[in-house]
Amino acid sequence: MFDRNRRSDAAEEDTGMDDELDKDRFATAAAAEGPAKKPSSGGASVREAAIIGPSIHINGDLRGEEDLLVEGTVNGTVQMQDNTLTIGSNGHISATVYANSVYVDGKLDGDLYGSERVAIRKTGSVTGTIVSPRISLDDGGYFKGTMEMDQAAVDKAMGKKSGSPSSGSDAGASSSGATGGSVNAGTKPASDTASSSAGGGSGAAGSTDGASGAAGKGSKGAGS
Amino acid sequence: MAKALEAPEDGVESGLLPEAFSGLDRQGWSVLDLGPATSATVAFYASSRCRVGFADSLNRLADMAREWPMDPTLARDELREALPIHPERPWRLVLLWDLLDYMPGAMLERFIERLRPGLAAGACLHGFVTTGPQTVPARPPAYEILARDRLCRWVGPGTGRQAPHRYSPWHLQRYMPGVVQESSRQRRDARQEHLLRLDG
Repeated sequence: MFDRNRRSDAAEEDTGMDDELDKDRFATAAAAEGPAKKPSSGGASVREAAIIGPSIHINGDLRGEEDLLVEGTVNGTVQMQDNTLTIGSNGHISATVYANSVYVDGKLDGDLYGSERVAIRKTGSVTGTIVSPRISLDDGGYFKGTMEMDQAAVDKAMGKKSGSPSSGSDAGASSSGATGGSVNAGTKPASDTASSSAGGGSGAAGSTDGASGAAGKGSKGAGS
Repeated sequence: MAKALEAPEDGVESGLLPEAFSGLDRQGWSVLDLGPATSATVAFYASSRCRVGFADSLNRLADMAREWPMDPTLARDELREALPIHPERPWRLVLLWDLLDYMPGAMLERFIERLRPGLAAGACLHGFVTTGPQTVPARPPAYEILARDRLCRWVGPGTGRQAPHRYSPWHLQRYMPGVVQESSRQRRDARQEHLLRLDG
């Protein structure tokens, strides 16, 4: 696609925002790479991110209170207002997403609300609406739709959702996960959504009411 | 998407975009860009509290133009697919880039007809029209906005072709009823830059 290196020097501009974004990206990536709890160079522990592995398919309302890396497929709603959501390069989300920060390496179709920022990276693709005060698109990333970069619009959208944080599931009762999240799946038969692998990640994205869900470190995924 | 756009031209100065953007400073930024989203353009908009739509429909509309005249029903459906649904808040500026070089007059009429319900009263349309003897690229170039008055134009591969229309301001107003010429500037590269305004 676009090759920034071939553009004239005059075209190069540094917004300053990328540097700040990169710091968070590294932290997020580090958190997603392995059993987190590794201390960073500064001594503070890198926050652990739960992982939805590549073979996991979730239909429904996904809520959580921890950072999440999605390498699988999620259809429905994702609500993580205070946390970071990363859509990995294998991840595909067709959903309305509410999060603090969102990093897209994979594919997202739907409306995306990021109270802090949304970053579409070089392999990322987003089709839909993004509402966030800070939005960036890396070279190679794809976006089609509408971007709303207005804090008031973000507050309005997030405020609406925060008013009903426990409004329940779309399908069936949910149960709390070991790490605070919940997945209310169930619009797809268990046989369709059951998976045998969690994608080799650490952490857990909570429990599921369907047959799919994230799994803990080194284990087989929740399946039928 | 503009996957084949790998040959950026030197920076393109725009004399009329600053005028269009200053209008948005007063009224609120709401921009529909018919081209693809690029990192530089998104960074440009990120400095403003704004709403911007990226239709990424230049190639699709150029393809339609090549097949024109089309069955009216098919044309309507194609335009509906190519142009975004009407937003809750209307667009105040539409960036056409070089699209006017590719669309025949009859298609321009259908195009503005489809676009109009999504536009605010007094909304502006900005674009370039080739007026000289040179050819136009095989596909519509994509633009990045580097600054209010500075663009980068990306031309795709393929043999250029003669600009078939070379619209004058008079032609544009004729083929886009309800649209009037706000400003126009002849450029040194034998192209004319237009800022059009919707009546009302």
